[in-house]
Amino acid sequence: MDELRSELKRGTIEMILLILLNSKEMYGYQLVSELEKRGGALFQVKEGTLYPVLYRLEDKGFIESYRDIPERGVPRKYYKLTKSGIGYLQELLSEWRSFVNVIESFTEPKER
Amino acid sequence: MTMRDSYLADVAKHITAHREQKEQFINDLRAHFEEGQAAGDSDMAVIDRLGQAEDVAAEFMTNIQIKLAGFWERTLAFLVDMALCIYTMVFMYGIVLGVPYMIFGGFSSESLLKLAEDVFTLKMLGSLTIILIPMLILVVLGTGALFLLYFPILEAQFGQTLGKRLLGLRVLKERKTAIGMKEAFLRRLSYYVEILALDALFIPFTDKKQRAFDIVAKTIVVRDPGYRRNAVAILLAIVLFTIPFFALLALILTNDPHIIIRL
Repeated sequence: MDELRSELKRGTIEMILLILLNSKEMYGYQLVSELEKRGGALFQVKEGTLYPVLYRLEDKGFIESYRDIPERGVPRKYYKLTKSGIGYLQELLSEWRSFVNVIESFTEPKER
Repeated sequence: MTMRDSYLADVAKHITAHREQKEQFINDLRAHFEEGQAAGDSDMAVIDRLGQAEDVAAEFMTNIQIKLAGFWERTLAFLVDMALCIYTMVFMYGIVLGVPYMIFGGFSSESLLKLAEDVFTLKMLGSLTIILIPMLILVVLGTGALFLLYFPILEAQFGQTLGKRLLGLRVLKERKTAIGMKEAFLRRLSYYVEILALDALFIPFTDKKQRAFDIVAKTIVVRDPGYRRNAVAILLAIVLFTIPFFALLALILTNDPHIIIRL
């Protein structure tokens, strides 16, 4: 079960991060906390491995980052979705939905 | 060093080359600690959630494109390393045997020839034998250690030997993170158990261009990013390992030890 779960996580983590960033711009730590809050135990990931995924998305031009230096506190690096990122997310989501539908259809009892 | 710093240093240690991207990543992780601290988490709790330093580094390395090194460049690097080891060995023997001979026989090509003759005929200078024998044993042990340890120590410490550095090659784990002592010694086992490195013949035929003992140690050899191969380095490499070869050839052909000194 663990193996399936980690494979699923690996395959969907980019989509999940894009969904989260689609709702609002976030900085790394916030993104991770949000993921944990909403994903719970099912989406527990080692946080250190999320940054490389963000870099990958940034390299592909799906998200972009900017620095925000508040008057007090830690300088933050915010990530936000780009136009092509929004398009890519739509593609990922429709792919995901059709995938889930097909799997669902497999589990339905077959008509004679 | 705080717990946080040593964790970040650990992550950095496992990431190979790519200085700018690496620094950016380490800075982001440092910011992560600071956010965690602001939210009331201890460094230990943050580290626990970040994950094993090597896993984090390995995930980072998945973004990095590598180029596997081929058979010929690796062979060339190996020959350079062997040449360097042989030079060091000759130098050590030269000091131990040559210096006493020169002191007693004078600084001349005759005394050097006498030395060569005595070494070849296993005759040692009578009164010096007692000093020479233990020194010779030390040198034998020293050069033995050199040949056994040169590769693994340098590769574990720097990811490359001098020959690999000259040709811009680097040893990584299969997951592209830096290797440690364990991998460095494992992949070198081939040289301890074989006289000829037969396992190098695996390189052209394996997916990841691995020697047999690369597969055992789960290591790969890649081209150092940012290194620009140049003709001078390759020429230097070839000259380095062909000098002893030609010297030996000349000796055999002429059967005259004078030739070495004239060379």
